[in-house]
Amino acid sequence: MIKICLSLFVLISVLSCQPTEAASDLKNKATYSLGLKLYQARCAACHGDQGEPRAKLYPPLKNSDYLKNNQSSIPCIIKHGLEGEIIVNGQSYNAKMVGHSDLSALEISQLINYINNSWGNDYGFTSLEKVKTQLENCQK
Amino acid sequence: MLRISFVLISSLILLASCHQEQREIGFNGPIEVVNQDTIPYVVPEFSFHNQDSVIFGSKELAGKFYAINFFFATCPLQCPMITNNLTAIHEEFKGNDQFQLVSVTLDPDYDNCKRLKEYAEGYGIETAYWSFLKGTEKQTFDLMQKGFYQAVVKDENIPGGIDHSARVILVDQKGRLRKWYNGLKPKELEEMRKDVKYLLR
Repeated sequence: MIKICLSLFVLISVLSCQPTEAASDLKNKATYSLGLKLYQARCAACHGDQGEPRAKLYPPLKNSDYLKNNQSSIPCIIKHGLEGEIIVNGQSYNAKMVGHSDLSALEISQLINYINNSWGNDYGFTSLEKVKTQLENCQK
Repeated sequence: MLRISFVLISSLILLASCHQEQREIGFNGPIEVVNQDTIPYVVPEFSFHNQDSVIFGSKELAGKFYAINFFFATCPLQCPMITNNLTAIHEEFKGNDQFQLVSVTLDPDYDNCKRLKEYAEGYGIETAYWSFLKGTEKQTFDLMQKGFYQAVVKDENIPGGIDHSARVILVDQKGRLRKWYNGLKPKELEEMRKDVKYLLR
């Protein structure tokens, strides 16, 4: 009887051992959902709810080679805007983007984490420290 | 007896289908009363350049209904949503010479005619039915504030630098200000669509 109880106890303990989510995964999820709110408020009107703009005036963010290959520039673009021609997925875009200079480094990092990991994008997670450093080096 | 009932019921159905929904649109802006007559407000005349650098204004709009809003092409917050919402109105009424959409830039220094044309093309807009206009900054701000009673102020603290009303204002074929609608709210623009349809009937 004791053996059975002991075995049961061990079994239940083993079964109740759920793999815990890594702290970094939880943190990433938190910034992702905050980024979603920011995206909807600040970016979706031009770049589209799903990263694909309605007007061909604005470049896509979904599956964007420009976004993928220019990660270090993205904080400055969000903060200060972008002027001049860029090529995204083989298409030329020349409409001026104004900056959102009122956004903090924290908000920008949340926004980037959302954009980088939505709609099939798999461009990684940035950090507040990285974004702060990149913002300090923006060419205005 | 059966024949009479049939005729009666058919007539009632016919009458019911002929009935058109009445819409109360009214007039907006400062109303004057002269000798007990209500005189609706007529918007002041304006003359700007359109996206093709051709003169366009009150003269070209005379005899037409039009819906006017104020925007600028680099506006990051409100304007893209308003333009998106207005494309539904454009789709419905393009081809109808009695109605025009008009968007006037609040940033004529940057939004030259070429950029306005690119903006319209980027949205797939037929500019014969939706004109993009530019005047001087003073002319435009004066028209918006004093002509259409809409708020606009330069504010470098907000992205884009210009804080402005999101309203779309309906003007009738006699230049009278009829009604305004919040361009950010699809429900209000749906009301505008119904009002325009009713006025054009």
